Amino acid sequence: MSILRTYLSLLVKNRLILLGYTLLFLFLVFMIGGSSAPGGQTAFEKTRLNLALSLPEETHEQGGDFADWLEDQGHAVSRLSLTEDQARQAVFEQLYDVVYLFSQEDPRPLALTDQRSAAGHFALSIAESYFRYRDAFQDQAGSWDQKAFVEVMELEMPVKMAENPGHKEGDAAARLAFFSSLAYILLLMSTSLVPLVNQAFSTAGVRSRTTLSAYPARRLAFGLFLGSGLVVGGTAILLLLLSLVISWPHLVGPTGALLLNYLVFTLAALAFSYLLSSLFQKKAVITAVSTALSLGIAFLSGAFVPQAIMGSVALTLARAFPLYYFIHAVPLAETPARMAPDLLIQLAFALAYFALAFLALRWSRRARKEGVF
Amino acid sequence: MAGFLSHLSIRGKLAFKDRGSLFWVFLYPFLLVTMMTLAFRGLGADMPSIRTAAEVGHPYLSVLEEVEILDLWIMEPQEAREALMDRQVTGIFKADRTLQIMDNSIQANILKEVGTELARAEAAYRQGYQPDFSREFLLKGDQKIDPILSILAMTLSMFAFYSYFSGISMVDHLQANLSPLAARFATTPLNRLSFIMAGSLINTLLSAFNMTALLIYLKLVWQIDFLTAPSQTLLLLAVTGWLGVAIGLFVGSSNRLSSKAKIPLGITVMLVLGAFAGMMGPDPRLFLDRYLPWLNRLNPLSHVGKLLYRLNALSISEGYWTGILLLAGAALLLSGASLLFLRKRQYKEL
Repeated sequence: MSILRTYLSLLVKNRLILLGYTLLFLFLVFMIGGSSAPGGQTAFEKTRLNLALSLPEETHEQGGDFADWLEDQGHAVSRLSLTEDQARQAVFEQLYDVVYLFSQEDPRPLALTDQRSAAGHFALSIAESYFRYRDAFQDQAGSWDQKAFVEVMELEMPVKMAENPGHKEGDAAARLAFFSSLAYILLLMSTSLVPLVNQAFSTAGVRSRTTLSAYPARRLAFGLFLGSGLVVGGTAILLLLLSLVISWPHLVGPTGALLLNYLVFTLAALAFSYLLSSLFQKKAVITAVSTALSLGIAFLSGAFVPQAIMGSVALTLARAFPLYYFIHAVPLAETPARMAPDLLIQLAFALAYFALAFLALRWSRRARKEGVF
Repeated sequence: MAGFLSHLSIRGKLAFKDRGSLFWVFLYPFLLVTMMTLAFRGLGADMPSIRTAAEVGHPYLSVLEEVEILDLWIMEPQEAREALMDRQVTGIFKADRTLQIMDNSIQANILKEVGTELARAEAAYRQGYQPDFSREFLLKGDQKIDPILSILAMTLSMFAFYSYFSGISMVDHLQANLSPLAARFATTPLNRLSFIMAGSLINTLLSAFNMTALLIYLKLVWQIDFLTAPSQTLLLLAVTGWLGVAIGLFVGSSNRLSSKAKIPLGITVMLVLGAFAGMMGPDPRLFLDRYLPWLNRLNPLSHVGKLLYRLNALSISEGYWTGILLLAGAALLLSGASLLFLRKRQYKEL
């Protein structure tokens, strides 16, 4: 109990770090939860582009008609007044998929978009189509057959969804993003807290008190390990519970497989943090190593961008860390047999880290002097 | 002047002796930038052609074969269905003039748009109108998104603020209750204004030097160019470094938290502000821009990052001098406030 009490008091001491990381996590969770698409896919859904139209004046006829038509098509349309530089910046910042700039000088609007992207391609093709048919239904005198134009523009190719029971691709993407950010924050909190708390046991006062106490050295080492487990396990449960409102839809379906993956990763994070705590004893070094390692591993492993679009060098390096296998396993949760290799590799990492941590403790001067083993 | 130069030399030596600051200001940026660049390289690459099946007997087969964006496979109905189920193709143009897809995606919408265009053309011809497919009805301006530039701009902005750690370290050397060195300084007739000015100057210069090295590293090793407007970029990063030092001085001197707490606090706050600004991908920033737009308006990391990519990726310098003046003003204000907190005190407990 005394180890536990010490642990809890040290956690209170490190409350600022805890609070910071928890806030970061909650932000990521709400961001992901807010942007994930709800429900399954039984019907075709039109992609809703985020479009901006810059009109030289509010009554610009062609631009106004085009904006109305885009709104009828279900796109989000912002009517603004932007310079070309401002429009470029807005597209670069991904505030809009495309900005159509209308001017009095040229009847053709300038469409600014990233032409390499699917959204850019789509935005260009719908605008091209609109103005092509508007031109086709206009005679040389400038009058146009608006009724026929509207009839033609209302035509759409019918789309059928192929039946694929149980599969929800949209949900899978949101689920992957959610669990990736969850794993990153768990890793960050574990690698910061466990070494920091364990380090506190080696500070002069606590160390001399524990050395003089009636606690056997092996029991103390075991207590430290259990305390680390408490920190990491508690953090893992707390993070999941805090985000339950948003995480629940992501857990529906392969709940068992997802929780098993999370449990195995928690073990790997615990082992990794324990290894760090046995290697580093200085607070400044712990902070540096935990921040650099957790963020670096997260970037390499695909916690922030899907592994599918990452470079091969990054993914090769990421295979040296369990986070890669955790993230890799999430989309496979629908068929647990396929995620088994990832789970086993994470377990192997956990065991290897534990073994290394115990070896490091045994070899360290501190362990030998104190006779922990 | 001799005193100031002496302080400059002392602060320079102390900066190189402080291993914590050396790690955060010099080593960590290179490590993280390398990992980020490895991870994010390839983002924003060209959209590949859409693998699509068309059933044998489709009335517009020859037209579909001409559409550039499609990677068209002509198949028997059963074969096409199996390819769709295996996700080898995004959709099937069926012989009955419908489109069959498996998942909702923007690629599926593009396929639908292609099919719709064919239906519209047929209807227009039927009514006696001739849509002109040879003319361009839009002026197409390409503005590449390049997420890696945007992400790295925010990361560089965060690293420029890492001179914060030097500011914290300066306070450690000035308040007698924080370090033995500061206790020794407290017994000398030290001119605090000169000492802080010298410290701010040398740490700002070191931060600017490090950022320059980082930009050169990015350009030469990773071919990511943040030096298209070199003088403006370096001035911006130098002023940001100065503000970082001033924030460090202010946070270091204005409260009783230990410096061991102020360092993780700084790291966490900057990481969160970096995430808000888009350092971990565009989604968090877009989410905030949509629901809490005021947050990034108050986020200095976001401002500096935006100025960086406006200068280098978009060649826009509008708002640059306003930004520089705001950053310098904030640095002056915080340095002045820190001087108030760092006024001479008696440490009776020492």
